[in-house]
Amino acid sequence: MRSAHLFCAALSWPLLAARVLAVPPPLPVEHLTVERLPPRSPHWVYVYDYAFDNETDARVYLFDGDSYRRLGQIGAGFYASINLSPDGGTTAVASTYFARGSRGARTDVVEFTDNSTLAVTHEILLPAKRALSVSSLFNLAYSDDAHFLYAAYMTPAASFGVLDPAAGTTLGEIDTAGCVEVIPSGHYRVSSLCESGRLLTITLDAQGHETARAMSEPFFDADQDPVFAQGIPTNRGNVFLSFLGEVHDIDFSGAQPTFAAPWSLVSPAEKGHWRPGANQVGAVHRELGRLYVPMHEGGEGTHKDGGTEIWVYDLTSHRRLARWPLKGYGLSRVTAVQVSQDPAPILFAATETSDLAIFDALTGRLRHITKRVAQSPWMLLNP
Amino acid sequence: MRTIDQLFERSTRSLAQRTSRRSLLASVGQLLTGAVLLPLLPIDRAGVARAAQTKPRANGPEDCQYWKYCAIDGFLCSCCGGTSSSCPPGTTPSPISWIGTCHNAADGRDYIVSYNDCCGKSTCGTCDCVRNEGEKPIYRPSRNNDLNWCMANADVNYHCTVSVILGVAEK
Amino acid sequence: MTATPAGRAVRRAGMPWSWCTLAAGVAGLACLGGVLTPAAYADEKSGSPEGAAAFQSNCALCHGPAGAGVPALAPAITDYPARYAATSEGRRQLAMTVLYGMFGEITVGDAHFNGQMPDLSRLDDATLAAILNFVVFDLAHAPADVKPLTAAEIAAERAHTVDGAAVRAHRKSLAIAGP
Repeated sequence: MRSAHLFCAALSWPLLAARVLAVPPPLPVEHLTVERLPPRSPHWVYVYDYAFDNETDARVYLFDGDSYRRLGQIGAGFYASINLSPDGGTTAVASTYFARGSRGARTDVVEFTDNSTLAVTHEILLPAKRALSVSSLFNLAYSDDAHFLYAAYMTPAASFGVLDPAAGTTLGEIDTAGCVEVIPSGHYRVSSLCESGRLLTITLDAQGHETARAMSEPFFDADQDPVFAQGIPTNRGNVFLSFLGEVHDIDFSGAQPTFAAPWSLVSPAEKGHWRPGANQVGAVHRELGRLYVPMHEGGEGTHKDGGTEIWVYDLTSHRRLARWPLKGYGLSRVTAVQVSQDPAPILFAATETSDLAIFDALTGRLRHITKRVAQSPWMLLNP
Repeated sequence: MRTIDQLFERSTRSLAQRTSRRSLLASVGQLLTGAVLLPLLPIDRAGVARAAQTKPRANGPEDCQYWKYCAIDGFLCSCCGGTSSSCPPGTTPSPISWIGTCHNAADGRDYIVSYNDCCGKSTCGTCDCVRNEGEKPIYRPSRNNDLNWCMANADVNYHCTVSVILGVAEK
Repeated sequence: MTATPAGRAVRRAGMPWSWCTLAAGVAGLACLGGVLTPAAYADEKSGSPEGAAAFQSNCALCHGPAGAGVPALAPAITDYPARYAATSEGRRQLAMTVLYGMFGEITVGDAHFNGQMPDLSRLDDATLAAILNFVVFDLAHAPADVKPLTAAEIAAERAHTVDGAAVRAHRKSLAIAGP
């Protein structure tokens, strides 16, 4: 039997050797690193996740509109107000935190995140009176040169804080007589929307103190056809859409705000029937002067219903350029839109079921749908 | 339970009334059992248990289409341990609120409804409901449902929203 | 349910008080450092520290720390309350308003409001009377011949419940001329 053993052993050695030769070398040891963001792309979008089911844990996801990948996350606390610095290099998040998570001592704070590393660099403590509302681009806003950061307060009496983001300090607080929001409206000017239909504009000096204030004439009727509080920045100012589809284009580039005659998104036959509606109700490509609006069919009380179509307009000619129905794509209604500001723009559209659709913003061709991009993607930002 | 609901939903007083639903049931309970009452409401819990086993009554207080919810935004306290006009245990009502004008088809009247928030705990997370009849943007805060109306409470965390009849709307 | 207004007006008997606040309505000054008219004049009454504190905790968040009001939110209470306190039906109006709130369209001066004032019935009679006296004397500067409101007057109105629409209707019936 010994010879049989020797024979089997002799037979198996080559097989064993062959196996050893065919197995690749072991994998190299890995080194744990922190991923660095690639160079900033104009097709990035910051997706604000309001996290409706657990509001104390809102966050912002950085999403790449070309690779359709999530690049990172910024924490956002409770009822956050969010904006990007004019150069796009910083995300400012004004939020509220409780010492015991869901309860306990309250801290209101603005946190600054470096958008090249997604690391928090510093914070400014605020008085405990931030405006706690579903967010818009005008609850927290930078001045045009980033010298000031304005933070809306509401107790429910309305005012705003003037902050120095570089020094990390609060400079003061300005009462706004019931008018709401902080809309940057020129060099060291801040405007607020009033229930009377007027725009309040406050001028500050370089130290952040008020030097003048002025009320415009009424430009909308809050009873007949209110404007959505969230305006959309344009090259010269802001566009405000009304519930019935009127477009109020305000130019902030002069000594005081000037109001173009309103024009309508809808024909007389469509008015009252087709309406804008969403959490974030429009986007503007500033260089091309194009306005993108989620539109739906509905009556009074549907101003927050998302869009079944995206309608596209030229802001100069007021012409409707396109209607993009969404039905064929299996998308639910669109509740937030944003457009990239580059010459080959893409349109981001977040839906009521939390998907993110990406369209070619010039042709309307659907490029991609990311399912469930966040829990409650109700606002989209890019610089 | 429905009778008691109706009794208190028709009330034009606010949440903080002396003869609360809880105390009424407590009195009834004491009469029935003669025992010291626990903080729990035996009748209430049985009702809640029954509701959990069967589907919520269509267009009832656990349904977003309930007539009183015409301008509500948030989570229905009816699903969270409260009712359409009472806060769940351990939460605190907001003293300030927004209002809506809702039509009650059952009696053909329009009512002014106060939407107070119940505060001090994280979101209830069930029965979310957003309706916007007559709702206005935040420059008209009394009609706006985007604001956290817990804002003036000691603890501003938002849990759920109730709907309290203030009275009949003037024509 | 404490609000935290930017300035806290803490009233000490006989001492002037100053604040850096959300100041009066449309005039809106960024920071008003100064002295409110001290109420220790011989011919003027004033509210109590308890009334002032209760006002700041419960009322200032809408009416402002000096009662100047906020457009579209809450009217100024620096005028009408003094007029109401001078008549018996007006005093009932004050008590009814804090007990039962009010809703529906009202005009105060040339400002219109159509929201709701919440009721404060959770506060006891003494506290409500103290709040009203702070409003009537410290904010609206009622003259010395006006009697302070009492807890008993609050209790009398608490005894018969009305709703916010009835409070508004009663206000209308008073026909007190505004400014």
